[in-house]
Amino acid sequence: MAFLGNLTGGLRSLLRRESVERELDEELSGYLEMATNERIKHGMSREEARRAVRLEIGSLEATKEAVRTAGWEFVVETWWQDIRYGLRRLLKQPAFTGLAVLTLALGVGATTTIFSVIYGVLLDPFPYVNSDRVAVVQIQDTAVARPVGRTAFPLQEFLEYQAQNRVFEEVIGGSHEDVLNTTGEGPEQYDGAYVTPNTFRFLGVPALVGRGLLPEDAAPGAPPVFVMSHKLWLGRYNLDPTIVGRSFILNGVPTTLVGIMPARFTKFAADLWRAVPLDRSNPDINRRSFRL
Amino acid sequence: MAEKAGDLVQGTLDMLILKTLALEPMHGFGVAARIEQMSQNVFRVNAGSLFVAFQRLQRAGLISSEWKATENSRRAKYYALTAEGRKRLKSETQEWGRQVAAIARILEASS
Repeated sequence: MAFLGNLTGGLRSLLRRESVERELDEELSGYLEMATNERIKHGMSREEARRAVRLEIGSLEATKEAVRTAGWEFVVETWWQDIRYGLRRLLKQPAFTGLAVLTLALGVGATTTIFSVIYGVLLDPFPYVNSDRVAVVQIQDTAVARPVGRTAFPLQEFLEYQAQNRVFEEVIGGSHEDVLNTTGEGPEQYDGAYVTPNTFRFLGVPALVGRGLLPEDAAPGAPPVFVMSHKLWLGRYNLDPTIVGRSFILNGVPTTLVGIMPARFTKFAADLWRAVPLDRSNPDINRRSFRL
Repeated sequence: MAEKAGDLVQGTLDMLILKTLALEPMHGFGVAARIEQMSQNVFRVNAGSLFVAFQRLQRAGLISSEWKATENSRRAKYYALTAEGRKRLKSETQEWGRQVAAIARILEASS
């Protein structure tokens, strides 16, 4: 109640200053007149009385000033005056202003860029759970003088790593695949990624809408599902949350969209992810290679 | 606390205004005159502090104001106590009594 009264009272002074000022004026001159009359009643002459009152309450302006500067709105008003004064001064010196703005813009821009890089590379490079314990394996033939080794592995080899691994808690893999989405307006091509069924559980990033891929999604006979990237969701579907649950024809197979990942989840820089069953007997999957 | 005779003890002006308005709604000069008269001219109320106090009390919702005609058919802003103000006056009066009694005890003990 008190806070509200203070707020509305101050706002009234700010927004309707003339009428508030006039009211105060009238109130104070009334006060002055009554004080003068009171003294006349006690036998002073009008002149004497007026002088005595002036002496006693000081100048009317000072009193008004005291009332005007007592509320919080006076601080706001002072700021506003300072801001306007500053702007006027800046407008009078366009060359200096331009230079100052340019300097600030460059400074802010450079700082923002540097911090974005530092944030993304050093402070918080990956959104994944325990990302400091994630490693990428490559196989290098030391007899060959090449700086980098092989990072992609056929399914058979990948499964051996998964089976014989004693060092890592879990091994995930996957790679790019082109995905055609058949729509009523014609096909669209997306940069897809197929991933081992444990990938989303391993990375531990919760979906923004819906859910991520589960190991069960790759089980035999499980309905085909996929998860979409934030980038595609924003760029193609305008962040429409109702598309989750809809069926898309991906590479000729009706596939249900079960979730959308947050913007920083960019595994394989893909538009969408599908789980691939690790089935040695399936010749199609057998041909694929897996990057850890 | 009082720098010269007639200055109010700090923080008591609000209480005196509330007390004055508890009797009947009053305009600014009436409040000042009433306080001077009731204090038998011990207290002089400075107009600046008075109107600042009115503004503060009104914003705190303790008093309300209304333009009315005076007995001399002049227009004046009359202030009246709100229910909130009545409550505040009661609690401040009690607190004041407690403090005065305490100060009196201290002064008696040390003299």
